[in-house]
Formats: sequence, structure tokens, C-alpha cells
Amino acid sequence: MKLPLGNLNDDELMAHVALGNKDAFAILMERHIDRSLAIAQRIVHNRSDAEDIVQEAFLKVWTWASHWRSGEAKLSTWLYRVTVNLCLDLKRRPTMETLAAAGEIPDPAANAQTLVERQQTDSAVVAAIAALPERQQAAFALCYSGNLTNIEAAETLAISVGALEALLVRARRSLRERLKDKLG
Amino acid sequence: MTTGYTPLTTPQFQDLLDIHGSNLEHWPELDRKAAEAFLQNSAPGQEAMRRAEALDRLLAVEMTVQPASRMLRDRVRALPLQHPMNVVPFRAPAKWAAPRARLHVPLLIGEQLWATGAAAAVAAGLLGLVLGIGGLAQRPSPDDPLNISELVFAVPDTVQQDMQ
Repeated sequence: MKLPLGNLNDDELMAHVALGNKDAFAILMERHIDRSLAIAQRIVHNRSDAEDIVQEAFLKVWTWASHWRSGEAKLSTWLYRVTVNLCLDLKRRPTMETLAAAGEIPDPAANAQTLVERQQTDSAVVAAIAALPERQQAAFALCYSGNLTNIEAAETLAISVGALEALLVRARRSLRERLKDKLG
Repeated sequence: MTTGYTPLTTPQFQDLLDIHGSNLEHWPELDRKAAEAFLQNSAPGQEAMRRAEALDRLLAVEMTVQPASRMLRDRVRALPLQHPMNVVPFRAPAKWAAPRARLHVPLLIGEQLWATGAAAAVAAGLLGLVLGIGGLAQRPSPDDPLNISELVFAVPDTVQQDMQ
């Protein structure tokens, strides 16, 4: 008896995707899209760019499925690595300031002073994260937005767990220093 | 009775806070026990924990991302339609194949030799003509943004890296 596609693991689904099974591809997409988007958005700091990157990463899943070697790596690790690499590629390209990066339009119904303070804090946090070296940003995005364990994040970045932890320590030290007036 | 962990110093505790964050439930068991014992009697440790919790609260707001929209899901779901996959093509059995047309030109031995020489001469002439026209044609500038050979044969490094 054949199992429903939804019961298959990622490797088994990739075998179906390699044969052109669109339903298997859709299930993989539902499993991983939110985490991929969270990681991308935290690295590029722009929702629209992050969505384009996620779409490109899933296109690679589709087009490279027939080359997938089952058991050699976890699909999630590979997908998040592709996502991080696409993000870093984008960040290295010179771009114009986008409208989204200019910030959201405040809600006039909310208390004005609270809104201003919240926006200032948010901006400070965004700026502090954006000022981190890109490897630290990637480590941070994987662990904090992707909710990956340190082991998974290290695999994704193809570094040792010790190296990942060193990135996290340096990132948090830097953030603590930059945000010290917000920490009370 | 042994505790199973090494007592922490303030710098060690700070490093563990930076690695695992302020939620002790996410720490490895031995580190968590060491941290709990350290926090009971260390004012600097408690201050470090308070600041780590404050940092995590700030980051929680910034690092939390809305789930993918319906529109993005639809865009990704449509990728297979826009990029049909080259699955292994269906091969018809040999008996289905139409017989190949064959050219039957009866030639004598002498005629064969003559025909071979003539064909070689025509081929050489054509080659010379093509090379001559190619030499007269304007060569592309190195700054030309559209380099067809690159478009056709280039394989992105990132793709090769990704597949490793």
C-alpha cells in the first residue's frame, strides 16, 4: 500500500519531485517556506527581496531535484544554505534604497509618543543587526529567526559548532554594546 | 556527592549567555545546572542575566517574521508550471521506429575515388569561404554585455557549491 505524500520524509518527497511530481514539491514548500522566509528576511531586511530569494531557492529545489543524493545531507540544511547564499549574494550587490527599507507608515490611531519610541527602538535594533558582519548576521538569522539548533545552523553554514558559537558570541557582544542604552 | 558540572566564572557565564540566550531551558543540561548554581550567589551573574533577557526581548520583536503570504505560496507552487522539468523522456520500442531512408548510389571503384576527391575539394572551399567571411566580420568588443558563449556554457559557481 502506498503512503500518502504528506507522510513521507523530505528525502522520499525529493525522489517524487525528481520525477516531476508537483504535489510532492508543494508539500516540501509548505514544510519549509516559513522558515526560509524568516531567515531571508532577517538577512536582507526587506520583505520583497526575501520573498524573491525564497522563490529562487525553491526553484533550485525543483530544477535540481534529479541531482539530489538521498542521505548525503538534509534537504532543510541544503535549502537554508541556498537561501543564506542567495541573501549574501544580494547584499553584496550595490542597490538603491528601496521604499520598504524606508520604514512602515505609522498607524495614526496609536499613541504618537509610544509609536515614535517603538520605531526608534526597532530602527536601532535593525541598524545594529545590519551592522554585524555578514557571517554573524547569517548565524543570528538561522538561530533566532529560523529557530535552528546550533548544530543545525552550523551544518547549514558548513562550519563547526564551535565556530558557530564564536559567531553568536561576537554578534551578541556587538549588539549589547550598540544597544546598551536600550537595555536599561 | 558530585554535581557533574564545573562551577562557572562570570566570563564563562557571559559566554554561555551569548551562545544559548537567556532562556535556561534551551541550554544543555550540565551548563544549565552550572548556571542555576552560579546565579544563586553571583550579583554580576544576575546583572548579566537581566541584560541578556532585555536583549532577547528586543531581538524577539525584530527577529520574528510573519509567515509566508498566500500570494508567495501560490508563486512558489506555480514554479513547476513555469519551469517544466526534463524528466527522462519516453523511448519508443525499436519495432515502432520507421525504417531509415537509405541513399543507394551505385558507384564504380574509379568513380568512388573521383567523388571522394571532389567532396574534399568542395569542403575545403566552403571552409575557406566561412573563415574568410568570419575574418571580415566585426569582432565583438570585450565590453560587450551579451556574450552568448557565456550564456550557454556558464554554470554558476553558487549552484555547484550548493549541490556539494
